Amino acid sequence: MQSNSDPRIINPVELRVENISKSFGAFKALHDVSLTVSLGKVTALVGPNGAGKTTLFHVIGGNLAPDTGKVILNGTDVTGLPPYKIARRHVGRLFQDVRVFPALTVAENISVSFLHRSDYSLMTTIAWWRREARERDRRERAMKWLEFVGLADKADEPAGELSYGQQKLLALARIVALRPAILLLDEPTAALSPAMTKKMVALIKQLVAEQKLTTALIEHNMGVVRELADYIYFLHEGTVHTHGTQKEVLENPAVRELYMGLSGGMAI
Amino acid sequence: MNYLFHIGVMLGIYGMLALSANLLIGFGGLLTMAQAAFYGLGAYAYALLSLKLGLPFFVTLPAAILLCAFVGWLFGHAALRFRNEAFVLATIGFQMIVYVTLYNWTDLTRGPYGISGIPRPSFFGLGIESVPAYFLFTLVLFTAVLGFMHLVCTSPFALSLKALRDDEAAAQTLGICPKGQYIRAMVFSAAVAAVPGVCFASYITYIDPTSFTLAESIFIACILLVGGSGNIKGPMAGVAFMIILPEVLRFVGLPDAVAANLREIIYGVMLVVIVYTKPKGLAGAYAVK
Repeated sequence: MQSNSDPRIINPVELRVENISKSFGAFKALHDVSLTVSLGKVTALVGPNGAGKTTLFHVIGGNLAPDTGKVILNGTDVTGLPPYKIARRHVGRLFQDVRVFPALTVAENISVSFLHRSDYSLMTTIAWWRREARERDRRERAMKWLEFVGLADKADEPAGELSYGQQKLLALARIVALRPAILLLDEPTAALSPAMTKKMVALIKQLVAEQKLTTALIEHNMGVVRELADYIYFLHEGTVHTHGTQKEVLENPAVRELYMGLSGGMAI
Repeated sequence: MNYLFHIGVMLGIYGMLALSANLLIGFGGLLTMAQAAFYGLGAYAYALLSLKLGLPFFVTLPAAILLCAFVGWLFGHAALRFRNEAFVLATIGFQMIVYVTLYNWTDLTRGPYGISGIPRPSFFGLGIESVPAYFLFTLVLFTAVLGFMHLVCTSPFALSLKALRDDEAAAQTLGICPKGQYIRAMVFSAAVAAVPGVCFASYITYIDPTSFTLAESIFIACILLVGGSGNIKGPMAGVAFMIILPEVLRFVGLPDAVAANLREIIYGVMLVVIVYTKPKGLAGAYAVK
């Protein structure tokens, strides 16, 4: 795996969110939300649709500025930084809807994660003899991640032609190729077949275990939550309703009633 | 024979323009309607520097390139706050500003009277006067631009642009700064558009603002829509089609009374058919949205 050969060592990072509020007009999407995603652990955010989970990811990822509150990465306030700056602080975000670059090949999709500012200088742009080695290196590293998710044989196909499940795997590979210290996974198994869900869960488990990734997970599939989550926050109507271990949250009668009632027969 | 060389020069000039616009339109996904503005700025920079200051070609060409790059950088900061239709409008606005300035700043540009007597390039006392010689000269410039754009279009920078074009939000989550990359693209695109400007001014030896209108910018965008964009082949196919087809239509023996109108109709119909049946153009890699 690339993590063993990469000389850069990414230290584990803790993510904290303090008193975040965000309103859209009169609608309070998030109200005074505070939570901690602990070092090297998987923290799941669960709750009915409209609870504010994805909005919270948007705030953490820099896509939305909160009205009040702070996002703190390893003790540094990163609130309001644009998404690309958050990404450069080793935060990898997997979107709910698959967002591969459809016109790029599968391998190129991964290569984008390896681009560094030094790759854009005028000198690198026109001095082809200086960039060949780097290109080969990017390709090799991309192939390693493609092998990891099982898409190596599709490397030169346009990403837009992959199946939905394969696109999700590609999106995951693209994010972990960034060498993140924190993973924000927004419904990684939504709309996947049972077999694909199993594969995705196994990959996430392996990544978290091998690389000590601090992971925040939004998920409606309670089977997946039970398998992955170390700690759970239950969000309801923009606030943290309950938090605790799996047992504490999933067996909480109030949670069962709110979640079951609102999400229409969701198995918990 | 000079007629063929003239077509060759025009192919070279529009080839360079198409390649310059391709970086923004085909790689960045930013439909610009301001390419003729940079083309015009390059032409005027060459004309004024060589006529008023008597500077030689090897100084005026880089000066024109730098001027366009700088203006592109300035304009990029303003226009790249917008995307999609709003960006298109911003580029149209810029195109109009440049045109109106060239038209009305009569003390400098002589406005609608244009600038005549622009010198042909000369090297070591050897002027490039005949049309065949000028064709060869254009070929050299075109080859240089083609080589440069090939390097840019295969660079990591182009990869990041394509990622932004396909999904800006996703590209940002991989650490790519949209504004920085787009401004870079604008600078490269503007700088390259100066070269055909210089080439045109020194070839025709007369320029006025009507050569650098919005219609010209739209024509350049059409070359990319027809030929395709997002690679090097597409713009080349587009230029060949858009420049050669009208010339071929001169020889199909249409009755004189309606020839001009019929040619336009045939030309128009072919454009519509191509854009309708081939969203990526004749040889492109990207369907302009």
